[in-house]
Amino acid sequence: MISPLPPAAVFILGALLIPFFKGHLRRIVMLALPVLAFINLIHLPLGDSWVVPFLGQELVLARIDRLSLVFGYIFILIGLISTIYALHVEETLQNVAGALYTGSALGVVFAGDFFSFFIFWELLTVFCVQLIWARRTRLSMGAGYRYLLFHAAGGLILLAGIVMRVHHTGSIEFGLIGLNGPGSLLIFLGLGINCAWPFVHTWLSDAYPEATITGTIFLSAFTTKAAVYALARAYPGTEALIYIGAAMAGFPIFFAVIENDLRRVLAYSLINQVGFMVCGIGIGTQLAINGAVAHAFNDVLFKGLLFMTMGAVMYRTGKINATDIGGLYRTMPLTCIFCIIGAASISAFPLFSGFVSKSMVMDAAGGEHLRLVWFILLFASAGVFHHAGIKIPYFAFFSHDSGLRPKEAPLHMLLAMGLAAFLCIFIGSFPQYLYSILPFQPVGYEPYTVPHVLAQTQILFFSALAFALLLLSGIYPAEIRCVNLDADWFYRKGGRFFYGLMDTVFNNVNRVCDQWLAKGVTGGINRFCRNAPVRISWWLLMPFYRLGKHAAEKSRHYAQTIKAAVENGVVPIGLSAAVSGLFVLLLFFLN
Amino acid sequence: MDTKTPDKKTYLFDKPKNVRRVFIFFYSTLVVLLIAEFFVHKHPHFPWEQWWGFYAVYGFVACVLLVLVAKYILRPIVKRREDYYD
Amino acid sequence: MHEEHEELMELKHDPVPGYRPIFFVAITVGLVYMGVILFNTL
Repeated sequence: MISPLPPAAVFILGALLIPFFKGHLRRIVMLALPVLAFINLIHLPLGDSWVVPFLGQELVLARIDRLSLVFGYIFILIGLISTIYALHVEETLQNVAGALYTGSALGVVFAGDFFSFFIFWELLTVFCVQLIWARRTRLSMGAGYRYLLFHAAGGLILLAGIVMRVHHTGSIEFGLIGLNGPGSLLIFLGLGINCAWPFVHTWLSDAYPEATITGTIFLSAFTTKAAVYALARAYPGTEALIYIGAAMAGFPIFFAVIENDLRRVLAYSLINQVGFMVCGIGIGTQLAINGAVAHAFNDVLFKGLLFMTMGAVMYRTGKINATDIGGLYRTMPLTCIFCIIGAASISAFPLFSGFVSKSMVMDAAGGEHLRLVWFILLFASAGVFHHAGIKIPYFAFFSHDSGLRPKEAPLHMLLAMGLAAFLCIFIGSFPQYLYSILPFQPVGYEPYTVPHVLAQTQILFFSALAFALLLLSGIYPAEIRCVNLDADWFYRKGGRFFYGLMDTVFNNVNRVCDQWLAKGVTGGINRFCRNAPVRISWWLLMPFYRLGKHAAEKSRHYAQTIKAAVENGVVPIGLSAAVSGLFVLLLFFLN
Repeated sequence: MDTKTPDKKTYLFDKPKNVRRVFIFFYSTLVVLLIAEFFVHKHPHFPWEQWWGFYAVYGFVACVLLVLVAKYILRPIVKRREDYYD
Repeated sequence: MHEEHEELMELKHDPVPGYRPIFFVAITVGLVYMGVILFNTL
């Protein structure tokens, strides 16, 4: 029996094999990776293994506990689903980057020390950017560069925090940190950037809609959820997270309502869902942490499913704006049904997966009597149904007839969507299986009580009523092709302003310096060096030339001769001896 | 719309009758949900949850305010031409 | 087949006659009732 590898190793080593295969063989290799990774994972013993000595410290490449295992399972599962979804893509770069990205996410989740955690954390960014650039449009190139810069800055903040922390504690072990001191604050912020906190969320709404159709499925699963994992590991019960999470759940829904690009609507709703998780981690009770982790698990599935259905629409029509599509239920009925299942799950309809996890966070907030937070989360629950639950399926598949009659999505896409949809309903209907893998046991939470089901159904149906009445009375905002400014304005326009400012200031400084130093001073020195010997020689010799007859004409002639001779360095020996002698005499008398 | 439609086939919701059915189902569910609340014993965290129809009204009001704020406050502030960043 | 579908700049939602009053009544009732609940319990 082969001893199990570190969880990240299966995908990373496997990814290196992908380029050597082609066609069906490559597809088999890619599908085998998640399966092998799963078999490998369940054979790893609980606790730390793959402990590698490193510079007097220990790297832990496989820390297996209940918290890391949940994230490990879901990452491998979505790795499988998105690989099935992407079977038509036969582009080595995307195939390899997808597998490496999955591997890095597993590496982050199972790292037991700061060093390997940080390495995998940075690899997430590197491979994610490949999936954005792989779309090869002008917009995706720009979004990719902004993504890279944003995460490079976040990574540096994290690194600075880690260095301070390690210096302080003397250990590179990555575990519970808690907010205490500047090092832990920097780590907190570094994790927060990947978690898309308010004002640093723009990389997400900017880049995810510009990535490739298949790449976005990977993107929606890994980066933010790895950050959620890290926060749950290092900062559970940190009060600031409650309010950060509530803000994340609240503000993106306003942007989602007026957004026209349906994948960008989903990107905003991704931030909204991560808000519930962050809030749960901040509350920090066992119920809340369980809820946050369960919601992360479910979100990977239903958000992946929604991105897949929108991807299928894009794949068949080449369009994704609400203004361009509509009425597609006619020819893409299965995709439409899968989309509605994803929408019902994200909106937390009873019997769908969101219901059994989001309510845990809500209940935890209620149990702690956090009134304001509870109201915001309830508002966000209604809002998410409004924009993700209704807007996405309605504008893509119903609404106005765009006249487009695309074919149904290809078989492998339907399979991937069907698998995710099945899991959404299965988890929603039989939550005990999900509950049994959550970090804190026993879970002891029952989502299916009569008042809870009734309350949730009421909130959703009356949100739907609001949508219907707003639409029918013509008040619902028109879908408009436009750019909606967000916090990214500050660096997208601010960056240009900064560039302009630097351009004006430094190029003018440069020009002035050029004028004064390069042309003025240097020229002066040059002239001085060239003319001084001529002048000195002339002054010394002039009295002698003036002595003879026709002194005036001759002296002019001699002046030119000396100038030419000195300038060109071809002074006759007699003349230079005379000048030197006179110069010495002059010095002698002057002294 | 018909000029753009490449086929003359009628689909499920092309018939007004089917759309009307969906709406009738929807509105009757709303009524059933409100009536059902009289028969449910609640044990909530907060006092306002005890009030009849709290969740229904909150859901409705929240969504209307969400849309109105997004349309009349947020959009005028953030909307720019499509080529704004070019 | 139409290969090129004209792309809309703006997708407006035309009002269906009769719904605007219903909407205004509903939102007024909703706001008042919500106000009453919160006034009595907060």
